[in-house]
Amino acid sequence: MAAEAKKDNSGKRIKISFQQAIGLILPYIKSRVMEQVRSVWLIILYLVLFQILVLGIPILDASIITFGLIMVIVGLTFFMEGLLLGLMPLGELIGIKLPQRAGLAVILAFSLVLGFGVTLAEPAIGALKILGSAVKAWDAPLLFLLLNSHANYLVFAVGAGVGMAVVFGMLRFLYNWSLKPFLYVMVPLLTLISIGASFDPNLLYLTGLAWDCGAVTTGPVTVPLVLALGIGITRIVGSSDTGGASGFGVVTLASLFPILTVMLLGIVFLKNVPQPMAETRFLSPDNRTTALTLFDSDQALLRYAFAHGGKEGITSYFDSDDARRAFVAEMSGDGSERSRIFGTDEPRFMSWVARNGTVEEKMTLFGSVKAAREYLNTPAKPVVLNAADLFLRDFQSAAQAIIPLTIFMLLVFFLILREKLPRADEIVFGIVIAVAGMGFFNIGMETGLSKIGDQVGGKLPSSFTTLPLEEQRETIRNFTPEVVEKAITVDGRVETFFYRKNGRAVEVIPYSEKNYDEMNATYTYVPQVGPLFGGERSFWGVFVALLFGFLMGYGATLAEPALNALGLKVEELTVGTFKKSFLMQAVAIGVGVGIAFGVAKIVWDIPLIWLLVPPYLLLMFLTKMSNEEYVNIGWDSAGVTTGPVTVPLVLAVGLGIGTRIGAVEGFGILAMASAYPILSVLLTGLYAARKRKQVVAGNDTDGSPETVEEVAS
Amino acid sequence: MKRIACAKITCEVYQEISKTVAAAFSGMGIARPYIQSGRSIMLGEKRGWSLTGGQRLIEEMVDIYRITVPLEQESHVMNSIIQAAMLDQEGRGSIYSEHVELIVGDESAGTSQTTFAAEPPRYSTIQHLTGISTIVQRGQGDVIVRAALEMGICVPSVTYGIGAGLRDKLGLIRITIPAEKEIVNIITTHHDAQGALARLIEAGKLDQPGKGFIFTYPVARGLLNTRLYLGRHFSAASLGQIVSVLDEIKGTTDWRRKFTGTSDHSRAKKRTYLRELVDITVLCREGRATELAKAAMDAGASGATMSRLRQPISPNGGQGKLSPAREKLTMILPAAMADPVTTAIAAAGLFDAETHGEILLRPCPEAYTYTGGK
Repeated sequence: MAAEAKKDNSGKRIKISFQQAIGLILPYIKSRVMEQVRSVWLIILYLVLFQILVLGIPILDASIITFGLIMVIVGLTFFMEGLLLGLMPLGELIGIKLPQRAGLAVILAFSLVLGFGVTLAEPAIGALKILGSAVKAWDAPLLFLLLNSHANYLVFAVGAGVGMAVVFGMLRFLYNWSLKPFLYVMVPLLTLISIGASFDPNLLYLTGLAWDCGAVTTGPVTVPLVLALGIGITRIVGSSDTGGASGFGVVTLASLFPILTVMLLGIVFLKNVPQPMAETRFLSPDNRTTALTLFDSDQALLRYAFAHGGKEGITSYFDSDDARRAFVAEMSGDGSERSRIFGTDEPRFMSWVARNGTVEEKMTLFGSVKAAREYLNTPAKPVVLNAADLFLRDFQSAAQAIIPLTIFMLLVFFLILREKLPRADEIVFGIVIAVAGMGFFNIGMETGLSKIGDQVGGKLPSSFTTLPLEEQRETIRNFTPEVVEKAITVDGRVETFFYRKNGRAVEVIPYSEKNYDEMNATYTYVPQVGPLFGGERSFWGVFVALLFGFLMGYGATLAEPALNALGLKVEELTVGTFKKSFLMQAVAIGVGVGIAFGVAKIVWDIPLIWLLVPPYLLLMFLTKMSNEEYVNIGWDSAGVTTGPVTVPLVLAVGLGIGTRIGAVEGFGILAMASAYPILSVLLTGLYAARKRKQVVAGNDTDGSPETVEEVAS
Repeated sequence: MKRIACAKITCEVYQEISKTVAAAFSGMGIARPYIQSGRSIMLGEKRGWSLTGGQRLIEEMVDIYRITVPLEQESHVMNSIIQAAMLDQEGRGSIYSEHVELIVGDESAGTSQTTFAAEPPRYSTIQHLTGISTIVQRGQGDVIVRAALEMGICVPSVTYGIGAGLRDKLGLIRITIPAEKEIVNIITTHHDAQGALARLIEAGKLDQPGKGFIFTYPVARGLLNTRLYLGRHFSAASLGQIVSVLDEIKGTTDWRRKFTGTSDHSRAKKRTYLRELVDITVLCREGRATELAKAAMDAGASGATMSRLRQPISPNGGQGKLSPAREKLTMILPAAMADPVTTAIAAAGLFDAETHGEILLRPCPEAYTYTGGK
């Protein structure tokens, strides 16, 4: 301080004018925003064009979606800058100081708490629960149990897995262990468990969830933090030969250990759940005690039955038609009793009756059959976008994901390491804008990207199958069957249709008797789309769906913030020889291929094992061949890819196709999206190693073009 | 404080060979060389579909080893490394030495004391060399690299650094100014230095504000990687091989003088270089450089570039609180300011147990940057 006083103005803060400040800030903001625009434009353009051009379906709520997409870009801009200014420097500082100031026990305890904590904070695990909402209790009881009443155990199991992973990750750095033995042990072990699990129908369904948990847990906050921590620690404990890109590998372990813990959890609870069975059998009174093991109360079971069961299922629940009728009659009479029993599920009960009930039941509940039909036809009330609510909820979840974690890290920094925080203003500012960025990003995802993703995902099956467009349902008044015409198809079937004049144009609308309401003289018409090319599940139709899967995976990966952070670190540690763009391209192609395989899995109902075991076997071989550096980066980028942009989009597609085709669960796509990028990164790594050998050996003996390089550049 | 005249030896090799070099150093009893990661660049044929033709840059990671030894051991150490890493063959790496002044705090500390098992063969090295360092914004390094490669001087290497200076006095708004730098290092012959300097200034547009800083430093002798081009050869020996043999025969590189006479460029004539400068390089424990830089700037230094280095701890331990994570701080100052700045840095705790630092002083005959319209 004395030195400062002596010199006239050196050391003192330079005051800059408002104009100068603007001159600095504007180009800075522009460059950061453009960076994010560059990373997301592909996926946005792609989703929009795909929906408009390929599927020929207009985009609903275009203005809200546009707002959402802008929020995604703003959010990513803030979040990335926050990562680079705040979270990552903090992680790296702790990584550097911890081994110097604390003993092994403290480091490991810190790692365990950190790993467990990030899992609780990471919002992505919520995404899995959404996917689980489509799982029927009778189809996959164990999966249902773990995703619903025992969801806490699931989160704890994943947390324990990630905690163990961080502990082993730090031990690796401290003792300079290779990542390879971990892979050689864990991957075959997990594969064996998965194969063993395929013999039990309950565990079979859990396998997909377990692998997806591994992929999902490593999210946008965890990855950069853990990476920075690892890079910091290796700078201190690294031996002379750990040059270049070291400090990676924890993310990989954090993707593998949760698979193990979730499968073990499943095995523990296996005894408590019934085997998968038919819906009627599950809901029947003889099975009641068994069924109740999955639910908190009798009432919950009843609500669930009406929300997800069919006509036979509910009849079976009441044991007889009469009993069911009596129940519906009772519920129809007393509105307050109905709300008491069904609560928020009341509309589900109403639509069950409207859809499955007898005429008499519809009459008692709705007053008339027409009213019942109208109840069904009234489009679900569009969720009013309450801006304040949305803002509050999304910012709360952002704060929850980041703030407790950073407080924990700051406490460790100040209490255990007893250090002064260098550039504290930058770090605090970084954390603040990271929270803001994540909040904006969440809003943007909710109102924009995942909305359009849902729309496209839901409509995607129309490329290979016929898909009714419920939201475009219309009722034609004053309809008379006299206008109905007949026509013969090329394969000799007689079909009925009628013409409708709409302005000057004449449309052909297929006629089906069941949509005609004689009493009201109306015809209800649901426009249909697809299949794009001829028959159901034609090769080209499925091909379009696979291509879509590929391009979506590719585009979404380029927008992933955690992968961007990983890429930046790799580029920095390799002094620019391993370019971020190169890594991202390799990973994006891998993710694209993985998702295409995932779509194929659902369309053709291929067992997950067949699509996961061969690539992992190949991976074991490639891992053996590759050098440590690429093994770490490759396996880590796999864990990183499945982040906040990819997961919702992939799940939307998985759900869209899954529900259309009637698959029991759409899990597994994410696991595929993790396996294939490892392959692509390791392959590029092997190519780079060969190139490096040429450089040192001197003569570039083969002058032939390199295919690998062309693909990646 | 103790000042020692010594030789600073820099050895730059591809990572594939790095272990050999590390082993050679520790074989001589030099357990803790400074290591920095960098990238080395050469030209190669364009491949695949290319409309433009021309040459692409081939980038590989290198490890840059730096040690200081007593002057009398300079050639012995260099010869041993050349032998171990086979640097007399083209395309494996470079080694060169500078005569510098080392300032240490502890009387007992000093240069690496070496022990020799056997006398290495004598390799002929080239003398009268000049190093040119260019500090530019991150991402702009390849422009300088390409210019250097196209002049055919030597294989350039690039390292990363972070700039400190005016930016740090700005408060939080400093985050809008990128601090990440690339440092391009080339070694050329003494007589080509002027021409190369002018060419690099042109290429990097260093005569415009905010573009960067360039400076030269004398290099006593070295054996440089002459393989600038990787591609098909249609002759029994590559040009690089021929060049290195001729260099060896002549013992000088005068024969490949590239820039004859003074530059005829009118703008270059008007250019005024900064002269009689000194390069102060501070080496210290990770995390301390920011504070030392601040002390130096309070004493009058206008800016500094920070880089990260590592200095392995030998496995047999016994070094107590030593840390392998180190930082380097490079400052170019008018020679007259060397003493006050060194004193200020020492006063800021350079030699305490927490920092464990040392300073290297080397002359810097010429430097150039945009200095305003004055």
